[in-house]
Amino acid sequence: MLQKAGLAGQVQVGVPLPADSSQSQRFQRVISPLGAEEDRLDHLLRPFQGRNRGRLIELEGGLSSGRTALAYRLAAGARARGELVGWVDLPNALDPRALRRAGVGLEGLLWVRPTRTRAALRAAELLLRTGFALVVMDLEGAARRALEQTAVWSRLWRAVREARSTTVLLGTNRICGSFATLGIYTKKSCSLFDRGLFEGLEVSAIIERNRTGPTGTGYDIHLSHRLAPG
Amino acid sequence: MARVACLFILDLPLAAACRAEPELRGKPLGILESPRYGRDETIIAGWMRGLTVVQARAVKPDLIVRPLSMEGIQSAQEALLDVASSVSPRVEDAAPGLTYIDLDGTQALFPTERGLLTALETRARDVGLEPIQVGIGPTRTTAALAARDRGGGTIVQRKELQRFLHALPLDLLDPEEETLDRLTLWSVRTLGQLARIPIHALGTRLGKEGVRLARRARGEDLSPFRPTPPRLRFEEGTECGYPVGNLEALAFQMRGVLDRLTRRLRVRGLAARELLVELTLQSGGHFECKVELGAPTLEVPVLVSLVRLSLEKSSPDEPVERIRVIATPGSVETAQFDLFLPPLPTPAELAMTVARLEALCGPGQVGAPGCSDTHRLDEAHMQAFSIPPAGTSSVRDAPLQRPTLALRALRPPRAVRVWGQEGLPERVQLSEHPLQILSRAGPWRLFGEWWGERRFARDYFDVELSDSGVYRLYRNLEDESWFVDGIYD
Repeated sequence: MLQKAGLAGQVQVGVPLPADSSQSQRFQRVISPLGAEEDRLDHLLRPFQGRNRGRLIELEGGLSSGRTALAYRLAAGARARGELVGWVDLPNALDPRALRRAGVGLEGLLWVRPTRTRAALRAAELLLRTGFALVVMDLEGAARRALEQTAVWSRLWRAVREARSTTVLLGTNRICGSFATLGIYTKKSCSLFDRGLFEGLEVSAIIERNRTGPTGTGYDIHLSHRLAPG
Repeated sequence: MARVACLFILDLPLAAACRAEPELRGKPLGILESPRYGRDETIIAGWMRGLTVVQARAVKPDLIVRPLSMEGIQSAQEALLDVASSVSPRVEDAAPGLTYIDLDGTQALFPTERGLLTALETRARDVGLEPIQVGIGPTRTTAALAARDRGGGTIVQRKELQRFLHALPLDLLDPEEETLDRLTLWSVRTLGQLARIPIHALGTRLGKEGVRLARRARGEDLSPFRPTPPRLRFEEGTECGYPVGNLEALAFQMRGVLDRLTRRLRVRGLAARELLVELTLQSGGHFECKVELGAPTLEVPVLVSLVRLSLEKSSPDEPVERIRVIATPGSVETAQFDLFLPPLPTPAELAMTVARLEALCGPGQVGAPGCSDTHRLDEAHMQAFSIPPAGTSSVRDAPLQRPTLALRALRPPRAVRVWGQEGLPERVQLSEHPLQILSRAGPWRLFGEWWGERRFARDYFDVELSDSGVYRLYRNLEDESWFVDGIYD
């Protein structure tokens, strides 16, 4: 079954996450035999990339947990396929330099900086209805009251389904509840400081909710601070 | 064979008033000779012309009167020119309410003259000019006569020119009153009768005026066609009628102005790229406000929202008496998409979305991210967004590189208090309590733009704090102040 799913040799059953993890005993880790970080990331995100999906992905995590890097990765994939990407940036935290370093073509990315949570939700809906294949909503610091209404998410979910696009929600907590197709919890494992240089972060991504597959799978991802040679 | 079309508005002040207030169309309306309302003002256009308001109301109590608006008349005349320019670049602005179009070369767009005439009538209706009279003929004189005779809509071919002119009344040529009286005394009442009199005989008896009339009665033009230089300046204005000191009421008045403006732009196949709003204040002062749009658009609610947002930021201190909006036109782009790429929205759809987003988030908050050519790490700017041409994406077909760290920018950089030794930070106070630095990398010195006012010299550190975040920290070497400008994520 694993071979059929393309996972042969990649899954080790029963290896727990570190003991300090709140999800510790429930998840297994996927370790690529090649050790290539891109393989692990793409394995995690591949089913949710591309058009004709209609997915609502939730990326939640704390400080330096790698959730923004995962969103960059999705944006880079969409731009590489020639799709348009909308980035609704409520906290005004998007860094174009970092985005370009991550391989995202800036010329097809629309950056929207709303100042209110309601405007952010409305902007995302407008982008979906226009035909943007991927819409990233960075909702850190959003007014919780506006996000706690079920109508908000049912409306956004309907827009996502009708547009057959992918929407990514970035936040510190889970906000859209059962409307999420995929919920990924990210957590910093350790930061890599080596001889006075900051090399990157080791993060783990755990699938907490999955409408189309199993939950509880954990992935270790190395986020490098340096660009690949060449 | 030359062909000319004529657009004629019988009563331009009346048409201008109906254009500004479409609900007045079909109602008894009189236009006063002065821009101020007064009971003793004389009506110069529309119903009951020549009477004062009091006299006219005695005859027709439900008469509506409006003061003369030079602004509205000018806008109506420009709208008339826009209608004419929408079919041909060779247009002559002959007089208020009278425009000629050289039809040479329009056959590719309009195979039949009847189709052209209908298109002109429709476009005039679209810009709010109603009723308009259109005529087509071999000369400007004939075209004008065709437009003025029996409400217009007449097409005169050269072979039927004599027959057409023969029965037309003499007053269509607008002769001087004295000349008209003399001609009537001679029993000359139609153009055909006038054309039968030899020109030199008329010249002897009526002078230059007689010769002019005789030539025009034969369908000849008195001067060559003088094309008006094409103008791409779109202005619309309105007089509020009373001092408006409320933003809500101002937005209501603005909606009408922008609606008329967008109708004119639409007829020319253009869209608004930038708006300049000029307000005349009660004291006679002026207030200006510029609204830059992310993408050209024709959506009136979007434009109203943007103007309103802009006025909310800086509004005039006094009530407003007159509004004028000048639009810089831009064309909605077209794009050829790649057959092998996913379907993308059209540039027009995208422009509309960008404009709506701007109305939602405010001007300057929507666009493509851009990196400035500088060593400043926290520099970022917004640029105009457009669909990248097919095949130009720098990342297309390139394999995705290994995952890199993202940075969440803090804008503006947050000033922090730092404790340390020998210039190396050890504790950082981000909020209430100081946080211990667990790991540190740096410093890396960055300095630049020393030739200008934006010079900078900073020592950058990457630090991991005890709240588990990894931050980018820098020290300003000029004043020894510390800032956090990003969180690695």
